[in-house]
Amino acid sequence: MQSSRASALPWARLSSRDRRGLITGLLFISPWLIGFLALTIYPLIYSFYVSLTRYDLLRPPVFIGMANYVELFTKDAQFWKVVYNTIFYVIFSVPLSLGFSFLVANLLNARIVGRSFFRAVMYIPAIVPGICTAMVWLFLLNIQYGAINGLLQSFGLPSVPFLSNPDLAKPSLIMVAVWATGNAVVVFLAGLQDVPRSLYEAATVDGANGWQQFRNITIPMSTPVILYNLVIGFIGAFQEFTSAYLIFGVNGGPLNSALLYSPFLYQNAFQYLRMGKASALAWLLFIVVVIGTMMLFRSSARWVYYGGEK
Amino acid sequence: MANQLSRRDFLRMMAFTSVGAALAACGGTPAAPAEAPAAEAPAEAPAEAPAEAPTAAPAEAPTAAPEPAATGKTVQWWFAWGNLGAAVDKMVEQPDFKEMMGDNVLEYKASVNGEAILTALAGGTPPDGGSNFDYPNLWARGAVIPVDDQVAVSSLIKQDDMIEALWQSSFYDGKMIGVPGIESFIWWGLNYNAKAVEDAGLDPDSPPLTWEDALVWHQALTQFDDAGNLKQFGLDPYDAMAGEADFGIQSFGGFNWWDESARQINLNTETTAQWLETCGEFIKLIGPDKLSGLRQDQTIGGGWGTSFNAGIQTMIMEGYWHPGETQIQQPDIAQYNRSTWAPVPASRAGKKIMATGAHFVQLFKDAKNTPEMFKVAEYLHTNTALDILFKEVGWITGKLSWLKTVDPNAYPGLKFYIDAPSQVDEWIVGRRCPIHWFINTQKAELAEQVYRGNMTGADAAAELQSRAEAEWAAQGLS
Repeated sequence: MQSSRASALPWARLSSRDRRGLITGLLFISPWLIGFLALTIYPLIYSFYVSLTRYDLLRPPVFIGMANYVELFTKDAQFWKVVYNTIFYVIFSVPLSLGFSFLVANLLNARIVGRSFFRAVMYIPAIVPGICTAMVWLFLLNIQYGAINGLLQSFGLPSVPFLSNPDLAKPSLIMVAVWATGNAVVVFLAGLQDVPRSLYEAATVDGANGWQQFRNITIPMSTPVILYNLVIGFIGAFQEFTSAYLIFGVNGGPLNSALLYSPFLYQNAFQYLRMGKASALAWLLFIVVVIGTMMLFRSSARWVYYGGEK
Repeated sequence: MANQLSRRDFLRMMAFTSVGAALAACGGTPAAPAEAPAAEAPAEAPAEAPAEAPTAAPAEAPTAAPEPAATGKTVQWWFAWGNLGAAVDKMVEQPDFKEMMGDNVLEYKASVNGEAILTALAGGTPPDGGSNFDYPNLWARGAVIPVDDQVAVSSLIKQDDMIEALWQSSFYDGKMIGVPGIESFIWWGLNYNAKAVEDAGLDPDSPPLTWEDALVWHQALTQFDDAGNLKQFGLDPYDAMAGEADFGIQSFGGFNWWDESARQINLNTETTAQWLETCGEFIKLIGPDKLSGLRQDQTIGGGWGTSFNAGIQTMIMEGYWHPGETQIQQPDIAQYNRSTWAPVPASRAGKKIMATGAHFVQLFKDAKNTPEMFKVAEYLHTNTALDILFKEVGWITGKLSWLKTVDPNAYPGLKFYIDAPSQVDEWIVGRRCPIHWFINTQKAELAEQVYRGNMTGADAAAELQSRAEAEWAAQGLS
């Protein structure tokens, strides 16, 4: 109550004690505040200015208005391809990752022998460094030397060019993303353990079978966690860099078919020294992610159930 | 007890301390860019590090220079590749180097990536000198200083003792943009594995001198196993040096697509189309997916020259460093190495073309110790330094008097490169356009469109021209 009253009142009407309290509070949070202003807000604003300039880091920025944005939308031969690749990746990787991790979390929530072991195994992909994950998948999926194709060939089946064919590069990248969902599984598990047992007991008494309990209790009660994982996954997928870059390189694999937005941004910034264009790309991504996240939150009123309040 | 510190006073004091500490930390950051890359600067060169391809920083410990003397200066030299470190380790131990440096100390950092050097330059804390970075690009953007005046009075660097084409490649806008040093010789030859050639029923003494003949060899050398896996192949015409538009296009058309004096790009030509179509035939024979898969495997195909060293690739377009580096990295393959003139189209049969260009020590604008750095660059022209570079890394600089002392049979295939300069009909000076990396990146995609059958060579050439012009205009380099 004290803090809400203080924040609602103008400075002049604060008592000297409240003022001292406010100053002390601000001083306490000042390390973070200074960091936030200097390392987040200032670069954010400056990057918008840079997006309106031609800037190569080595010479002073030259103001060129919206030219970088115009170039992206009208002249850059790769921009729309990159946008398509990224949206394809987001549309498929986010729901698949979400569905897979929710399913696995439910399986790991069941009373099975070795449950702790399986939980640990599922979490391993989340703690393995991205470069190791990428290298492992490179070795697994290689058309000639990969373990999976080796297995296929041993059964007399043809090799599958997972990473070297333009049609399969993106799906392969999505497969890697779906595999590395340990974090989401852990969050889902925590959420599942919060679902009151009494609901299941009541449903059992009412004669509901397992599927009905899953559909009418587990899913609705998990919707807050689903929303959380959806938003985090959505933002993360738009920003995906590590796997795409390590598996396919900065050029994005065969015919640029797996060239995603963040590696493209990096390529423009550090290979071509187009900091202005890269900043414009960053701002476009920021706007898309903000709008998308807002839409997800707005839609949540219709499908997310918060047990405690309406 | 009137002066007892209250809880509130204590907390306030702590808050002030925290703010002060945060501000002090902020104030200390400008030195960071110069220090940061040290963690990525290994002393030991990775064995597989190529001469022409910057390598990722390996996990070796950073090269530590000796503690500077109290009165001396610390001269900083950053280079992008990893395999120079072994040679520099030896160089700094030489008595004449120590004498030249006096109280000054050379602090060198290997495997410095592009982001690190850009950060240092943008932050106003450049090293004194740099090598293996994008020379014309840095020059065109005003990041380096010309060295004409120092070279003019140097007793160690002499124009008449250097290969003329190489010397001329050191100039841009009429200025010498760096000291040609660490390795500066000739870049463009066909290197082949004579044993594989013989096993394929071909005559290793009659190498292909036209692209048409090279395709015949490629066909004979390309082999698959029963499951359809690529066991061995002839030539990847976009591998190593051949991946760059400068050399391929000149090979086919006898001209450079970059008109330096007019600042014009001429990629939309029949020559470019012919180059893309012809090279596409080589890859169609291997299979684009299979070649792509090979290149994704870093151990046998992804790095510079690794597929040749692994015995899978049997022909490769590289320069003089190929014999020495292969010998040092993979002696069992190097023993079969032979080198000859790079192919030209049948219409230009008999032309002996050769590429050259310098690898410089560039001096950075606003650096503190450029005169001292120049001395280090100068030292690279001494026979002592040249011998060390040749022995440790297999690198050569085109200093004529020193070249006479080189054993041409030190590495299999080297003799061709030692003898070649006097026989060249047509010189290519590569990597002159400030946006050449952009063009090579775009070329990689468009060449793939051609060999995957999605585009004709002519369409790809037109598209490459269009992208290059748009980028050139957008970069404001005119």
